[in-house]
Amino acid sequence: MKKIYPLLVILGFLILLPAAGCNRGNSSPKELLNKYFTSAINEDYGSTYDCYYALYKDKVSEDEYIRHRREASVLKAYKIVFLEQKGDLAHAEVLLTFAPSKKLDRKEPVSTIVKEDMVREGGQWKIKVW
Amino acid sequence: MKRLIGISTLILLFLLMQGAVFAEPHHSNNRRDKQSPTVTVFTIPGTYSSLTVPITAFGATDNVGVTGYIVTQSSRTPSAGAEGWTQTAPSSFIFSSEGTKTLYAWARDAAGNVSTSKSATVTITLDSTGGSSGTGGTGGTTGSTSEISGVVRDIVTGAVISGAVVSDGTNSATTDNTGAYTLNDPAGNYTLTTSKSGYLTTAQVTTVMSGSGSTVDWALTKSYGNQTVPASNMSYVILAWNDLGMHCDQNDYSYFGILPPFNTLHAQVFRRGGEGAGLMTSGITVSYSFPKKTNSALHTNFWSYAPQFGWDVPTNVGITGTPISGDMTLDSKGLSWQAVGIPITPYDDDGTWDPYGTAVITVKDSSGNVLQTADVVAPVSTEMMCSNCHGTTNPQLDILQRHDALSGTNLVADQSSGIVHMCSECHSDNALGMPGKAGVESLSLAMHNFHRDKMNTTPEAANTDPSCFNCHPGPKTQCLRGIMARAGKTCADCHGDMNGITASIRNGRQPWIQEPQCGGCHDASHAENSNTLYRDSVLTNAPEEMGGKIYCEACHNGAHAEYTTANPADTTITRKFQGDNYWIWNCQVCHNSQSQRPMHSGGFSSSGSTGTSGGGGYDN
Repeated sequence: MKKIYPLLVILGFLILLPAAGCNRGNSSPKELLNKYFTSAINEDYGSTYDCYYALYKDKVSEDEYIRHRREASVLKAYKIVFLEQKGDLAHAEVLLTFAPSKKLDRKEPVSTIVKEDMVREGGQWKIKVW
Repeated sequence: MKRLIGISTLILLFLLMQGAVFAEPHHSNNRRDKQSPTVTVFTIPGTYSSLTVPITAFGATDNVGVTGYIVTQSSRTPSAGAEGWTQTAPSSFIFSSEGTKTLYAWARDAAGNVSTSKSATVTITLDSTGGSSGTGGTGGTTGSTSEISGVVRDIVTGAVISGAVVSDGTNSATTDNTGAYTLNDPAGNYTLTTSKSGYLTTAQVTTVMSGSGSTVDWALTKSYGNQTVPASNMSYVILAWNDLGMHCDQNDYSYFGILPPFNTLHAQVFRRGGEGAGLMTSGITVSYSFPKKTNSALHTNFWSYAPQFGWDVPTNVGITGTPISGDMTLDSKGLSWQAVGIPITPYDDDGTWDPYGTAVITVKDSSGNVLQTADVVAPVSTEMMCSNCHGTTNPQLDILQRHDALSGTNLVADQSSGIVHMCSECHSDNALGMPGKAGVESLSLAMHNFHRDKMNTTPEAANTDPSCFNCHPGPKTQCLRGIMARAGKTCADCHGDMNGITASIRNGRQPWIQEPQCGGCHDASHAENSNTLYRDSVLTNAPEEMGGKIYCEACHNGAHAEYTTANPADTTITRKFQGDNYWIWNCQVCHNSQSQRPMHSGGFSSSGSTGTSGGGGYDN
């Protein structure tokens, strides 16, 4: 039993990890941003979807989000350049680098700074769209 | 043999010089003919009692020959390739509603020259057999009556409302505990009103036909609240809107182009005050920007193909030269600041699919001081579900293949060689002002006519409700989300079904230019300006000096997203300045110390802040 116990712990961890997404661990705006953009880089758009606040999820289902997100450019890298928190709201500016795209006839990566708004919802930080 | 060749060569050269070879005879004539036909006579009765009005005389002459006749309700000159031209002069015209109407008669020749018009006016009053006609008809003393029946519900909860009073101006009925009512009236036209304590009194126009019942359902909106109007602490108010509830866009332009990125924002700016509150059309700059949509080219390939489509515009500049952010300019009426054709997409810069992107409108004085800001949504969606029928592998290629097979085009080959076409190259499209090619159906006609019997082709298409959302955005985007949709009205209630749309275009309706009229269902005081679309109409029956200054959409929002909509993203303006998500109804949004007055003539005075009961307070 003693030999099996560590294996069970590791197995449980491996099972829970993918399901966690943005539902767990986004206890700060920075943590949320890291999960939001890392999942996008990994094209794990289901986890990216988890990062949005309820109002967005009310309007856009996960399947719909994933379908449309795949039509947009693939993210390659990100860097948080500004982050500010005021109570239950936070704002960030993030340098994003998108991959080359055959569809867009883009042969080189392209970078841009985007603005992100965040809101604390049920104790968890979420991406605010509107 | 040599002689024969020589003679043949001479004949060929002669014919070439005459332009008779390699060109159809009429074509060569066309090049020389620049003289337009003349409509010599056009008459209709001055008054008539049916929607089908006879054309008593329509004649035209031309130096070569008249080849087409058309009658329109618009004074705008139709293109020679427009739908609705007939080889012989039409003998009648079918209107959609009664009232005073003007028709314009035109003629064209083979060279595509279109005449100037002759116009004539008719006043249509529908005959109400056995009863009086017109709004609020009192019913007749002769002839049989027909039932007007329906159910009254709460617009938000859908719960039936008992005890509501439905009146035709003379007779009234009270809804029972199922929300149902029945009125018996002679044939005629009626403006019905429904009142219930705690709800706004609402009006609808209906026509009762002899011998057949009429169903008029209601969805009542709760009375206005009594909140303090946030604008009362402000000096300036911005009423801003997107001209349509939704703009269609494409994810990929590499196969064909239907519509380019093109949103249009308007903003009317008011200086608050007492009686002196005023519309500001000078001395300020009004700018727009999308904080989360600063670079459309990150996620769309439109600008890679725009030159092929005829728009050689820089990246992130729209087809009218409008950038993705910038200053707005006064519109042609000098009333509204506008930015026409902003090239945004449904994608935020970070890749979020966001069909309800928000623009920030900023008003500054001449010194650069910010006077006011407001957020306004600019809806745009790529949710055209071609894949429901054309497959998910490559629906665009499937469309081109089918088009080639059906119409003998070479679109697939062209696309393979890098040549991509706009649909409007051949199919005229009034949305883009593209004339198309003569003899080819307009895009609106071609799409609705060809697809009208194909909405059940696949389970995905058949399960899409309404079926319009198979092509128009869409099941998730919800283009149709305004108060009329919440009241249960469908696309077809205003536009007709696909058969009706097809028939109306074939009967001469010009898509995008002649669209459903609010006045067709609402009372006259809430109708558009004469011969004017809702989006171009202004308030003309307002108290005192407000008339002719405020766009309908400034207070009621764009078509399909009329306040109060089902999407909170739409109501940023009303929440900021009025403190609720209703249409702009409170006089104190702009006026200090102003008692509440009816915004539209014909409405009753509203108690506004405390709700209304029993005949008080139209939803002005």
